[in-house]
Amino acid sequence: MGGSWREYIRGMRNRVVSLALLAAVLLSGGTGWCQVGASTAEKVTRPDRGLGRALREVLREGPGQARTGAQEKGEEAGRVLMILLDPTPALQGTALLAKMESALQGLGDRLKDTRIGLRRVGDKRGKLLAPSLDRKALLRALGEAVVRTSPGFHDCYKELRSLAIYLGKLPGRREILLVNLDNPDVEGGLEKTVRLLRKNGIRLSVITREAYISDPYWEARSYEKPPRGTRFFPADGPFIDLPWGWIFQMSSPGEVSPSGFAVYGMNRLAAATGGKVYLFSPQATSSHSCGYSSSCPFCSGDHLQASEEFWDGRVNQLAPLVVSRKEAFRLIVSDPAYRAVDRAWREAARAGLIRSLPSIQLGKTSASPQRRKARGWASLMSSLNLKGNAKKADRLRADCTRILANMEGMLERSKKGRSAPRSLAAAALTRFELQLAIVNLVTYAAWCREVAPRLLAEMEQPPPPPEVSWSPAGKRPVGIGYSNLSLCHGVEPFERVQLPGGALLRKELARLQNMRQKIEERYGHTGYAFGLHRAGIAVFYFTFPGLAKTPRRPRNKSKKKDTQTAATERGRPSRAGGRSGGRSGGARTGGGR
Amino acid sequence: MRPPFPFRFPLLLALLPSGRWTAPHLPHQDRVAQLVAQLGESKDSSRSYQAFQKLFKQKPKAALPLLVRALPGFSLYARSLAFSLIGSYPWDQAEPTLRKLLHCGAPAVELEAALVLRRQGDKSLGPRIAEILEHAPTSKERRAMLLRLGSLADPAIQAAVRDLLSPKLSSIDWDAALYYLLLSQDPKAPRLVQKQLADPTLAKDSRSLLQAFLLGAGQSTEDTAALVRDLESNGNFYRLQKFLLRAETLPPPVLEAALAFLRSHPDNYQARYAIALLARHKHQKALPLIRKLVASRQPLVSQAAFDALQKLGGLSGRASFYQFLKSSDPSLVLRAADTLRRRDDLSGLPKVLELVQSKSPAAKRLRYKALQVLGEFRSPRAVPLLIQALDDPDPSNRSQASWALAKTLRCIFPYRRIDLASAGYRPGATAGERADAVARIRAWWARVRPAK
Repeated sequence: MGGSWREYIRGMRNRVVSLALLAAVLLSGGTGWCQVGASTAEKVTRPDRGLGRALREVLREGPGQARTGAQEKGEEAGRVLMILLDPTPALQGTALLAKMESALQGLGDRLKDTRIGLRRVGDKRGKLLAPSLDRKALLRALGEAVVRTSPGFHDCYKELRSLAIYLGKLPGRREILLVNLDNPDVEGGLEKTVRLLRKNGIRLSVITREAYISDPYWEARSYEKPPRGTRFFPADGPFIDLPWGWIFQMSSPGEVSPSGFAVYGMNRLAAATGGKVYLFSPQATSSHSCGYSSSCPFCSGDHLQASEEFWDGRVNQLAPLVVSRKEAFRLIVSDPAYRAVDRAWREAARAGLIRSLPSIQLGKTSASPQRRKARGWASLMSSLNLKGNAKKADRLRADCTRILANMEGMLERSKKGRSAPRSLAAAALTRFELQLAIVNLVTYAAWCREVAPRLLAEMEQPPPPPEVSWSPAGKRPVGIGYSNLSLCHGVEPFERVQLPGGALLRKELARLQNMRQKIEERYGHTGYAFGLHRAGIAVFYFTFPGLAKTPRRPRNKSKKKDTQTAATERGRPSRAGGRSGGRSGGARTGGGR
Repeated sequence: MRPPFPFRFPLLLALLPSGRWTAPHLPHQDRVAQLVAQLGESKDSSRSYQAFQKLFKQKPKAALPLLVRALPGFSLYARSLAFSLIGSYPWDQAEPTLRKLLHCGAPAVELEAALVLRRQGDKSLGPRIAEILEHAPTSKERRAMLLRLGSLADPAIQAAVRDLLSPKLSSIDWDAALYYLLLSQDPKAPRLVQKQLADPTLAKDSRSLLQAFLLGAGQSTEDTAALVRDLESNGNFYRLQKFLLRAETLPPPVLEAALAFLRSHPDNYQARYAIALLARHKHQKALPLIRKLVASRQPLVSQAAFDALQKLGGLSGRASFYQFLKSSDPSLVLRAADTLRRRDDLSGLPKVLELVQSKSPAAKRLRYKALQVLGEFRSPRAVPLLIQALDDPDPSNRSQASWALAKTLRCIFPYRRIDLASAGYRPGATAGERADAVARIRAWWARVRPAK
């Protein structure tokens, strides 16, 4: 009997402990797990102040950072700094050699205990300049490494891991400086690399480019294959949190909005090892253009867009997380604003308003990567049945209105202070995109009903001068296409433009203008304003068979492996006045060439 | 044994080389030949352009062999049109034509063809381009060729251009060669240039160019004495600024030299380059002087000063622009209205409308600029005035008005395709023709103009 009492007490104790643990878990799900206050890239990022300054700061050990135990042990043996150079063409014209020389000369005696070595990404295994005090040898090796540039994607993570093992055997405070201007979006074994760097007590600093906010570039081009053992991940945060691929849009907000921070992989490596990320973009990438893959009806490329100069205070509020993906997934599940975005995103994908799905699947306590693919856009332009297309557009508009109302309801119901500012920004932009989709659907339905029949009639009877017919002589239309009129100048100027849609369009445009104004007030001078400006009101046209014949593409198979080059890395817009705004002047991820 | 097929008919064989029987000219081929001949006309560039437009639209296959034969004799303008035309053909037709042009005997044409092919990815042509450059008949032709290279980064071409560098080179040749090396970001050039700078026989004006190149290439150079002297005394900004604008930072003596030049020559045409340079490098000390130069008599200097003030933050907020809008100087009013328009503020539009209508001599002198600014507003309010300006007595104002009107109408009516020529309007037409066309356009506008 006594034994059974003991068992009973033990059993009760276990139950109480389990219940207490469960209660702790459930209660802490309130504010403690929310990503508000979690570690972000703000602390590790140094804005672009030029390559020379970045090098000086790294060589001087930069502003104070936390040291790990392993690092402290090696204090007495001096400092070992290994430079890992990714020799992509972007290095040309940066005068890295001259700037390194001047930084070494300027710091002089302060580096008397610092042994510096060099490794070039892509060199044969074991080929490196061992850390030494011989500066001439370093500069000679650097000069040779800079001249031999190599386009294509390079896996810097693999090199980092082998360097970590090499450095782990050397005495002293160990550091790596990774110079990676073109390839930060090739990510391979991130957490493995973090573990190895930490284990060997190595601090990693990076000189790299600015990324785009939640960049879906490679997601949208999933046919491009990364080097073996890696994945393409060009976004600034641990996952893509901004919906992309909206209907009737030539670009996605994430593809055109410079973030002010580096790619997630680089942020994570630096944050986990106590290092810093120095943003640097080579010159001549800072210019404003109102549209990306779209035209601007209101200017000739001379627009002075004041809200695209970054304000550090605002940008830092929207900094991406630098915790591990696992941790980030755990944090995001309790973020009501992101939950609202996720739901609207899924519903929009189901309706055919967007051609993507959220990159993660939210659970109750954590999230997991999304495996499913979206169905694609609703087929509004696949046939020349104009009446049918107009009806479909009306139905889709009703769906879109419902999704927007649901999302607004969810956001209103959510408690204040529980959503991260970044999620709120994503939610604001998602609402705007939904409203823009409504506007475009209104104008598309009206185009099908009013404009398209007139254009077809003009084929028989040309319009009176100075108007001329749209259609080339003797050609019948074969499809419908669209392009965008950029919203960079705002919604108000569209009052001057004769768009089909009548009173309904005017009402929806007024709502769009209202939303835009609120977003400008709150998120102007951050990357999120870019997404707003590069979105566009769609204009539609008939397409005709081309005059020229396209030659058959030769089907040569590549003999080399892992040598793809980026399709477009120069075309995407960067920021005007980036340097003067105190941040990097021009994001450019999307691969190395 | 019977001979092979063609040798069985000696008469047919005899006729083959003449081409008369093998390729008889059809009527449309004669038209194409006429158009190709018109394209190469050196006297009238507008006729060349008309021929180009027709050929561009039709893309007749027959034009390609004709171009191969005629291109070596074309003028520079006609040559550039011809290459644009060839480039617009499907690649399976354009490529053989370009390959034939590689052996046409005219170095400039061969270079152009090689460049097109090289840019399409044929790396084997790098050495060929280098060879053409090396064997250019005159230094003038070589300079023209260097300018055509753009920023093409090919090791063989870069090596060939580096080989050209010698202290004996004239400063114009240094200019062309260094600019190519800068644009193509040749990593070996800075070291070579530094060596050349050590040569005492190097001419003074070339020395300043070399120093400017090093600064533009991001190299730190302590010796900028020649550059400073050149900027202070001669200006020479026209040649140096393209290097200096690319520099990430400039040493203070160089900026001071630019400022000194600006102080001593405020009305010189090169002052605008000095202003642009000082603004690009945010030299705040120049701000008071640049502020004064906004009222310069030289329109280009005044424009540069106005732009520089914006970059240097010399115009705080919109209030400064509103002050300029009230100015009695119409050119300042126009600039302020245009800058506000660029900032999405259309409050300058009434002033511009007023200026376009004004009959004062100062406003009349600025009518061309006023019409240009008015066109940039893309406003329906501007349309009646622009239609009226289509019949302006000054032909340049008429073309500006037609250009501005086309832009405005394209913006207002995205679903209407408008061509003023279809209403019979040409800026160069007779007064009677113009009046008829303007009446037609006015009637059309009355019908379609948006309701207020």
